[in-house]
Amino acid sequence: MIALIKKDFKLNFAVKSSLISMVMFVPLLLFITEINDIVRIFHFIVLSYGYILINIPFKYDVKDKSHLLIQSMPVRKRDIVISKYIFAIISYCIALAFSLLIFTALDLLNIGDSINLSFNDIKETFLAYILISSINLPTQFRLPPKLANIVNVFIYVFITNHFVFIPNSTTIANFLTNTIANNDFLVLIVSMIIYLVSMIISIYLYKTRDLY
Amino acid sequence: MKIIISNSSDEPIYEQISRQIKEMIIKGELEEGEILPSIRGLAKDLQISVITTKRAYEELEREGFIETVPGKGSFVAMQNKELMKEKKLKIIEEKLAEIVRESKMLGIGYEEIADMLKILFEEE
Amino acid sequence: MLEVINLTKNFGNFKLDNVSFKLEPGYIMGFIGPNGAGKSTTIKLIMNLLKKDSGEIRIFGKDHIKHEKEIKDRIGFVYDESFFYEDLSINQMKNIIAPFYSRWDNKKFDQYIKEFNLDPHQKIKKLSKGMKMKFSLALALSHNADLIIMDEPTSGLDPVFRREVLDILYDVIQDEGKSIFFSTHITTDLEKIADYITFINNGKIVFSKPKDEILETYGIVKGDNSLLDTDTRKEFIGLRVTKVGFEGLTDNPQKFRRKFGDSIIIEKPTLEDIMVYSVRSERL
Repeated sequence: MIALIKKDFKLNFAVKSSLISMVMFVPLLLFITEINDIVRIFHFIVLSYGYILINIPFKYDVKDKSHLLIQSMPVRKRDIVISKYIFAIISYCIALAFSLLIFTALDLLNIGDSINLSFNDIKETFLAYILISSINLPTQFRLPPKLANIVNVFIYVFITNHFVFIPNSTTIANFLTNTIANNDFLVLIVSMIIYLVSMIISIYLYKTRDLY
Repeated sequence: MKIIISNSSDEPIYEQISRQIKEMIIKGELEEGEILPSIRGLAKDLQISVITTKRAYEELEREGFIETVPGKGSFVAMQNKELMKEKKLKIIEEKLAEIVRESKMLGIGYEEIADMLKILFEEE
Repeated sequence: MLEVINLTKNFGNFKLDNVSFKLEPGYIMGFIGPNGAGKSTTIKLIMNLLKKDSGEIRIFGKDHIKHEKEIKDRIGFVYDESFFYEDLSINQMKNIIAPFYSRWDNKKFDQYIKEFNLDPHQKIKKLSKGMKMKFSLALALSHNADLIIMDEPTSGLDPVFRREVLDILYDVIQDEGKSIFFSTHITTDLEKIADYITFINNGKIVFSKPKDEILETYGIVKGDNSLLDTDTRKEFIGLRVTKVGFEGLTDNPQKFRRKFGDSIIIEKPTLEDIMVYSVRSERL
């Protein structure tokens, strides 16, 4: 299990090219999209980095067919799935820490408006991330890698849109924002249940899949 | 110890090996109690399969030329020269008996066989 | 050590049909067949990369799915394609792989890398096909595996290197607790070293026998076309008739010797002869 998690780690951070593209990615997008609200930017950075971190290892599966290598070694399919789910959470934490770091730095340097991040924002991003991953991961484990990657981009864009770009404009987003603000514990439990159910589904999907 | 096999000969490889070892033992080039190369080591040196060398050794053991001690290896068995010659003669006798049987089945007579034998002796 | 029993998998236009064979510890089995015969598929099924439809696969006496993890700990594999992370270096890749194996031997790995003249800091994408294969082999041999499974490891490699690989395999097999399963369509590699040959064609096993027995049972018969009639033709597994004579594969050369005596030539077949004639005759 640890060996699997370490591997995903190394794929993200040990290779110069992935590191560079990671660091360059979000500022680039921000530039293009011109969000002015600090909170929105925060959400966006966290979700984007979390998404990138979890998906780079899957991209390698497409490029190098490495899933065949991993599956030939002494690992259980179940462990592969569980390790990805654990790594997703780790990715979120890293993305969160990274974003907080950036924002603290900006704050200290007195750049931009003063930043008013509340615990709610963390909760919202966490929920969004759990939702994205709960759909993202099963598709990776079921669909052929290329197809899965395309589908996931759509999911990412869709959910990010709702949480970052057009919040408060839809009733669902409103409902969610309010629920999150008022029911900490419930939200956490429900999201973890969704996550676990997604994991169990993924295990089943991966076990019954042929790897070509 | 010298063993050379030919891939293009009609004689099966395992027979080439057992024959050459037999000859060395009979001529005294291999002494009693001397250890033979391991089955796998020999396969590697000759670049052939393990089953082939195994078969050669099994035949040699069956005919009493070598003894295999599990875990230790194969050794040249104690040879009684008289006994060996007797053994060889017996083998030749058995082979001749088979030839006679086959010939009778095909309706080939003694004269023809004697001629064939003559030619073969002159060839080798 | 490796036992495949009635393995079946349906792909729609291709079917692996009741494949069965057995490999005992201490021996090398060559798995031959033309391209597309089902060799890679069989190996992928053994490694559980594909799900079988029916049949049983036992490795080290255990079911290959129920005990997948402990079995794979003792299997060293070499595939014809490299599935490594191309952006990583040899060392980085090794450091990802090593922790998966309980009996990893780093010293051995370093020895092999040195012996194969590989630079551990070299990025995998910069390695040639031969070097990637050597790397695969080094990995497969560095965790004290008892069963080495190789899927067309030498295709695309020069004869010099192929011979080097054989030497390494000979060394492996000095330990009679280890076995090697080697699929290839380059049969010359197996002529010398293989103990058993399993021949697959169109998803079915044609035979699985000791190599010596195969080479002794089959014969290539050459002679003049006048000797051919409907009866003699039946005795051939595969036959090639030209203006100047015929050449055919039979599993009963003694019959021909008895019937035609000196008017025919009988030669020892190569594995390639057996494969080519068997495949051609099926295609007719």
